[in-house]
Amino acid sequence: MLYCEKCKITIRTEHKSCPLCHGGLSGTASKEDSIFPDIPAIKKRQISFFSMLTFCCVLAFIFSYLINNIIPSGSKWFIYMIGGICLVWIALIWGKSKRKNLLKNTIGQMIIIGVGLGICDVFIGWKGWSVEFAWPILIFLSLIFNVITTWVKKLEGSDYMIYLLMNCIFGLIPILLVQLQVVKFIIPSIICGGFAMVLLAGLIIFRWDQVVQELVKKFHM
Amino acid sequence: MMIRNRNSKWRQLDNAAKIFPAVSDKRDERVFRFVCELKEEVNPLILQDALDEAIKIFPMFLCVIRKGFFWSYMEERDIRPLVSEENMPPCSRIYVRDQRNLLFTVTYFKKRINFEVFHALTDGTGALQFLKTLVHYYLKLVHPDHVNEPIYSYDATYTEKEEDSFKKYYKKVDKTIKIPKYQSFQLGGRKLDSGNMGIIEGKLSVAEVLKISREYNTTMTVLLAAIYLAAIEKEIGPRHKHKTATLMVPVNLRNYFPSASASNFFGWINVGYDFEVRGKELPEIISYVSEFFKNELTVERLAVRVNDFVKLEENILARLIPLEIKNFGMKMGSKVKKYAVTAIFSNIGKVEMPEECTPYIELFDIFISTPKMQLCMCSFNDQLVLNFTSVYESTNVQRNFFRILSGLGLKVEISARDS
Repeated sequence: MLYCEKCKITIRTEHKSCPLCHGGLSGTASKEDSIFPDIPAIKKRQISFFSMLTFCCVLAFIFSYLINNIIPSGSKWFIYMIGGICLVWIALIWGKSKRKNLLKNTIGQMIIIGVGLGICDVFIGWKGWSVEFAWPILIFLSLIFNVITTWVKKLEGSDYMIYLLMNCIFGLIPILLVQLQVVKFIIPSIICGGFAMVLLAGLIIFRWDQVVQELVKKFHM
Repeated sequence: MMIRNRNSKWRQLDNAAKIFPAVSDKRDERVFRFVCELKEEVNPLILQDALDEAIKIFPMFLCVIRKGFFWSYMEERDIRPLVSEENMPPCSRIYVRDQRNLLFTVTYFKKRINFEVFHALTDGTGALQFLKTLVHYYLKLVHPDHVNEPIYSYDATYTEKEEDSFKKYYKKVDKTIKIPKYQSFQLGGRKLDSGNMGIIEGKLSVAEVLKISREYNTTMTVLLAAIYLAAIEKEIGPRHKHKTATLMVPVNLRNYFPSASASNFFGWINVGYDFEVRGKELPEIISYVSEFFKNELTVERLAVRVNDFVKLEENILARLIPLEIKNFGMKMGSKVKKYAVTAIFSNIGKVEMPEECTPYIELFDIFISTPKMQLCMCSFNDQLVLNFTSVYESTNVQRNFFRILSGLGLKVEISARDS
């Protein structure tokens, strides 16, 4: 066994110097007595996804600004580019952080892109294409995607219920907008809202107990 | 035909557990490890069988943390825990947000059985109960001729085991009772890389330490706390002389408020010692610490502390804030609170196993991930294990501590993990 003269202690594990005072040791060690396996320290990846993505986005900012100034076009289109790039950045960060939970991920992406397109519509000069087309199509796609994911992955009630419910509630927004006469071209909104209502009715009627339990769980105070 | 139960069981997090998912991070994963070192190499296949049996007694450990809108909660899952050979650094991350995995792992390395657990699931007492059950099952399967008593399992129903005892004992208390607060000295210096905690384990003889503590007319816990304070004192520079060295001492509340919960039920007291006022000699420190423990470890004074935790949780405004904002608040709060103490001293106490098991067990060892420096102590038969975990590169306090012990004529055997 190893011994440290200064600390007056014996050392069971294999060391080059005293773990306490870092001084020299006498005696011999046996590898047999190690109490932890040799695990090489986890090497951190030099460049993380986050910094790579951010760097690419900043590059895109800079180049769009430069090109906008070099080639005179009379408009400051790089501002829209920056908006678009920010949207991509947020969507990808969310997508990566929630990759373990596909349903939550989809709903998040739907909200991020939906809000982004809404802002874009407002900035370009309100034409209403975001609420007439973009929102219903986005919500419809996310509903379809989440239903298919639930079905294919055979998810348990506690894994899908709250997300499908949330998705259905979002699906009712286009219908509401039709009723408030914000939307002129109503076909996409009707299709999306109709599908959401059918799904919601199905969930409530066939899975009533789970709907209640899930709401109690998620909103307990 | 199998009837599928569509409703999954769930429960609220207990009072202490609510904070851990919010504050666990790369620096401090809030994971602790209980180790049972046997006298023979561990057989992984038998350990798996033992684990399958042991988990039946602790079904509330089979759960995952889910986020709600106002609070996180535990949801029971039918996941089979699997035994694996130790292949991660000690106290690595267990709780991964959104991953829905179990909150404990059972690993083995040579003669050691490791049970690692995320603090939100249980505290030291619950974890020890589980490890003891697991080891008993294991030994029963390995040595059926010698170990054949019925399995050790403590006397509590499933509901009692998952009870939130904080809530049970929450009531209005005497507001005149004041809990002392300190301006505490902080150990400084460079920190180790995150995920690379320094671990130094010292093994002593219980009988020898008891003999010394009798000479000082005190208990083992008080003696070691006093030596810990003395070891810290040597690191306090002249600039910080006016500050106190403060030890946070977690207290198992089950000893004061009857409870059989396997969830969290612990509190803590902070012992601050001012070396300028009270002197640096060991007998002086011992008499102060001993007096302090006697005064603070009473049902009335502990109740005040428990109420402070629960009061916040019961506050209607706090309850109405969405979870993500609450988590941020708790994170900030714990960052500030960290500076209230210098170091942490957990005493798990004496581990008792059925007589027939003892010939096969070398020792029990306990340690925990920490944002500072933490000493965990437990004893089994004549083996007293003192385990320092620390985020600091410096090992001065540990050196001082063990040199004081060896200076008292005690035989100390050190094991360490090279960081």
